[in-house]
Amino acid sequence: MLLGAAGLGVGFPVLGQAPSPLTVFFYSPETNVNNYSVLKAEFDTFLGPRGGHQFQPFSDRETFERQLATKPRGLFLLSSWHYRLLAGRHPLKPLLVGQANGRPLQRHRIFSQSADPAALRSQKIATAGTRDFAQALLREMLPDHADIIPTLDILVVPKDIDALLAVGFGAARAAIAAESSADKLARLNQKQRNALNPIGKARESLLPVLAVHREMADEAKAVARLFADMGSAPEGRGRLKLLGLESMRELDPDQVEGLTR
Amino acid sequence: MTPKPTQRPPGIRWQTFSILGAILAALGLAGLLPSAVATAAESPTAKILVVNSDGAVEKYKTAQKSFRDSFEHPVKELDLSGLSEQAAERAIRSESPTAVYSIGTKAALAAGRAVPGKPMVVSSVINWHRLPSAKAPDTHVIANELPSAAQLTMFRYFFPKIRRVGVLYSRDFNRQWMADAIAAGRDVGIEVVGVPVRTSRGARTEASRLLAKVDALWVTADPVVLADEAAVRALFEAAATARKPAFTYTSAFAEFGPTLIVAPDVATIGRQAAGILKGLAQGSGKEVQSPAGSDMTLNLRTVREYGLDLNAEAMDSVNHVIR
Repeated sequence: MLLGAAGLGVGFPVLGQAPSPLTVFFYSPETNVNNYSVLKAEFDTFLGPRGGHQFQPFSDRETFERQLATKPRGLFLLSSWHYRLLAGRHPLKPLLVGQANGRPLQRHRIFSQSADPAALRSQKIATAGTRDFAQALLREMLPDHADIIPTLDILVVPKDIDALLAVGFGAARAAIAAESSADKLARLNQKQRNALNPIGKARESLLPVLAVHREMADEAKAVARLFADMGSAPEGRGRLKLLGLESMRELDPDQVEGLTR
Repeated sequence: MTPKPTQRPPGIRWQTFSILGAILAALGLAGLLPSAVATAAESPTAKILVVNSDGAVEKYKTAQKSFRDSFEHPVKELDLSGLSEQAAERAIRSESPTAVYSIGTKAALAAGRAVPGKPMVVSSVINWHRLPSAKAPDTHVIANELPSAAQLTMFRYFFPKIRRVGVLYSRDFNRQWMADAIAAGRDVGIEVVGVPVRTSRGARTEASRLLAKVDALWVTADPVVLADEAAVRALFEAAATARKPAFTYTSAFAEFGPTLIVAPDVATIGRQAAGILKGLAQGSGKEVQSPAGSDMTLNLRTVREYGLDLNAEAMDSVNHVIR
């Protein structure tokens, strides 16, 4: 972890140079974040004593993007899907990528009561992501059933596990969720998992990335270093778990390139 | 007393609107129309009325806002706080709604009496089965608690070493629920031990004995066991005395110190209600849905005090932490 941070140039600030506090702005269209107060409190209590930094979660994409456009003094923790959308408009530099189950990647799928994608027509589909994100995934996962997508009634729920359970309990006919969430459900309740048919598969995508405006890159090193080290100590790891992550690591060149393709 | 319309931005105050023929058909007006799908020009006006039992209650406000944001059509909103039963009924009747979304028991009862036969979606009602309109084909319900299987799945997620969970219940109200919970427990590797009681006093007496045999107490929605605040408090105190975690289903009990609250996410309920009303336009039948979202409160203080094994992975599902 330390090596990764060093590779970034995320070293200690020069002796005698007191870095000024920064804010980490967070928004994810992949999860319907409704635990802002917990995130804010937990990350503030971690970042505050380590340089007076702050954490600012957002529930609204537009507000987050407006904030990002003003080039505030801070860093951005955002989904890789969102990063790709923004990278063309803003000079962003990815610093770290989240890790879960030892990997920086995730894959979304449709899990349905029926194994036939055509049976989804006009049905309710639950997702923890925003409608925009869900629509994008659906277009990717149902290339041969594009006509079905506008007929779907998207029900936004707080968490992947809620979306999956909603199918089992009849509140939705299908769910969009990460494969890892379905694996988790299988460990908890095999019967519920067995009732779900995976019928669409998205490409693997990177977990959330920590990024910065290029002109802020030097100033952001200390905070990036804090995040890079979070996974190696219980105090930091516990906070990352709130985001479903185990640690954050430097991206390799292929991953960086993939974010801009 | 006159009803208090909710403050709305200009342009989307109480208004009638022409709704698509398909929606009209499903909202019970099909019989008035020459065909099930009328054109908008042919449509009489349709009014969707959102009735809130008490606009000052945060969870009711959240459900109402979420419904409004999801429904995609203007709606009339009515706050019944401060209104007598009769005044509430008059206020609802005077609006001549085409369909109603009722939030809370007062709203559901008043709407059921004021506009019987009109399509109605009901949420945030404790023991909705007891509503006079519950069995009506045009009354659609979003239950007030997550299914027992969902709650048990979450217990297992947070506390994988919990193996036996005790429940006090009344046979009159929860015989079937208990049987379902026992079966659901088997699916997640948790033995659910139910002890039937006839009174809340009996529940208090049995609580200590039950706690000696189980790893955790599950305080569930039972009108006999939870007869009043003192009865509720006594159950949580019994768990604390036994140094065993208590799990429960509503954040209303947070002050009593449960270790884990697995409550429904109220915003999701509002979205589900909007979905049901929209679904009627496509000819959906009677809907009784479980809440589809969860809102989790974890009490880390009792986790530490009782030396519980908490699954760190589960922190990704926590909405509120008590330290």
